[in-house]
Amino acid sequence: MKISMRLSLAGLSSVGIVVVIGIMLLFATQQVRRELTKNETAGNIFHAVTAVRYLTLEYMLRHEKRVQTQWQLKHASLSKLLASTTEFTGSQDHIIMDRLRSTHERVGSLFPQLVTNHQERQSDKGKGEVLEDLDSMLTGQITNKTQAMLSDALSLSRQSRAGVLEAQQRVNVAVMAFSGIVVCVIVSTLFLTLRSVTRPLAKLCEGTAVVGAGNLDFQLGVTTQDEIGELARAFDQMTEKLKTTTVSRDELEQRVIERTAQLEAAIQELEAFSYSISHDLRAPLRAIHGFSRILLEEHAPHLVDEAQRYLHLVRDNAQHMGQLIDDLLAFSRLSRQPLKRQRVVCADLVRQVLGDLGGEHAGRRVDIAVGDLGMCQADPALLKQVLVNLCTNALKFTRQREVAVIEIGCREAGGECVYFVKDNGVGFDMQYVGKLFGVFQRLHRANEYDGTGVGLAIVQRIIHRHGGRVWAEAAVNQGATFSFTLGGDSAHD
Amino acid sequence: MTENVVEILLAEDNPNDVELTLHALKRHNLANRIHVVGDGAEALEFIFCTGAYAHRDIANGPKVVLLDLKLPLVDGLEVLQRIKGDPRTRLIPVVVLTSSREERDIVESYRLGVNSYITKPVDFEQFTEAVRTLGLYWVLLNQSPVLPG
Repeated sequence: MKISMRLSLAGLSSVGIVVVIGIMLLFATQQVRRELTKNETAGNIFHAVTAVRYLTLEYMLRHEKRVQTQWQLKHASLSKLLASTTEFTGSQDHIIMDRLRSTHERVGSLFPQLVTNHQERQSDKGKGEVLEDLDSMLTGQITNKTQAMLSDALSLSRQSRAGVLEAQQRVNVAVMAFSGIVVCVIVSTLFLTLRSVTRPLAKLCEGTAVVGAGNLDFQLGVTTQDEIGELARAFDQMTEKLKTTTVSRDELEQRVIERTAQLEAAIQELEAFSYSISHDLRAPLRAIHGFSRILLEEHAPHLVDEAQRYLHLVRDNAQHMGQLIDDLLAFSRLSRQPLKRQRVVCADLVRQVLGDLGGEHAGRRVDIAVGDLGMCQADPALLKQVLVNLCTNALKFTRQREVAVIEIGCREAGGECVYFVKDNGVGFDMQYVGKLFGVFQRLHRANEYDGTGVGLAIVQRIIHRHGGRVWAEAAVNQGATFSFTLGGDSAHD
Repeated sequence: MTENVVEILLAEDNPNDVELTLHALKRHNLANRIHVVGDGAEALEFIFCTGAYAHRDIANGPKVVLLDLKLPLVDGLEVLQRIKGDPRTRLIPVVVLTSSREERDIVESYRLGVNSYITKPVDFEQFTEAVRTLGLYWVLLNQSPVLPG
């Protein structure tokens, strides 16, 4: 049974018992009141009989008319009292009342005889002795009868007192008995509840400590159906679930450690690879480039024009390959460098970049507009590389424009800052946009625009490392717009 | 040419690079004062006057060392460490020849006390610049410096 149910049952039964006690008290009070009324009536009867008795004796002594009248009045009032009394309903009381009434009637019939006898004695002195005897006899009878009535009245009074006492005693016993029951119910409920709460609670406390210390195999195993039992079962379920997640987390951690080790090995391999590229691949290139240059510089007079042109091609290609290697190394270096995010004033960075690139568009008409860029959270060196690459492209692909128009700005979109570099250059066909950010991917012929096809790949790698996105919109001969976000906490402020 | 006039030691194993470097310096009459060694061990022997160079005087060592980092037998960085770790040779200027701008080499070389570096192929302008920053103008002139005292 649930604890709340048990407690409310105990409460209800206590209330019920209190109500019963109340009702019993009410009944007892009524009974006491009834008995007191009886007692009062018995007292009245007693007093009236006493009065009749004294008046009889007084009459016998004085034989006055006044006493006779008083006696008759008193007798009449007693008759009325006896007739109107209805309180005495018990069988014993009933018998006594009947006896009182009949004795009273008998007394009522004896007193006129006493009066008559006295009158006869006055008129006929000769019968004096006989009548005197009769007088004494009548008086004795009345005295006896009234004495009997007095004792009846007294016994009525006694009985009513006994009734009061009995009612009191009954109430006392009942109150004590029911109070005992209430105390028993409350104490037993409290005891049971405490026992069903404290023991599992202690166990729960212990369990919390054990589980908290890391032992997830611990189970409380409480089977009771009350709230504590529910709590204990929930606790066990929680521990079980915790165990499952902990196990999977441990596995996951193990896998992360393994993968990290694999990754580190791969990075080391990559580093060794790029190191050997930078050394070994460059050596033959240096020779090709160096010797063809010596040929061109020192032996040109002995070479026909065609041979010189071929030598130039050899040298240019060697130089181009050197550039490819440099770019590839720069690209692979990006993955190894740790990202150092900090607060960057974008406008300052753009100013630096445009200053560095100033030489590249000397002699051209170029309009560069820089919008409000604010601050951002980024790796300044890497973000600068992004801006350099995008601006270099913008300058390169507007080469054929009479006036190159380049706009660098920032706009708010979907709660994040979108930076963009827009130009009015040759643009490109959007159907090839998927190739744009691939390494060594180029959308223009080498003889139109130089480059190794690594610049945008580097841009994408840097932006992705920042957790941002980069995309391009363009149309053939209608310029291009490169946009990027810096992800995460790159709030514009 | 006597060994006493050796003023530049070139430690380089790639014959093409050796030839290109010599070619660049020859035009300015510097080639005849250059001694070339093909590995790190020989470089150390030359500098510390041991082995095949035992007859040389260590006090009369090269005025500048052009050192490739990738050398057979003894690595260029170790050669550098030995030169800079010995009080007799510590003051010889060392110019490292690198084939790329890989920072790893350069940072490590500076940690070991290199004086300058040149990206290969060595051309005369780069060499001039490096030598100028080292305050070794006299190497470019065809004569020995007049030492005070």
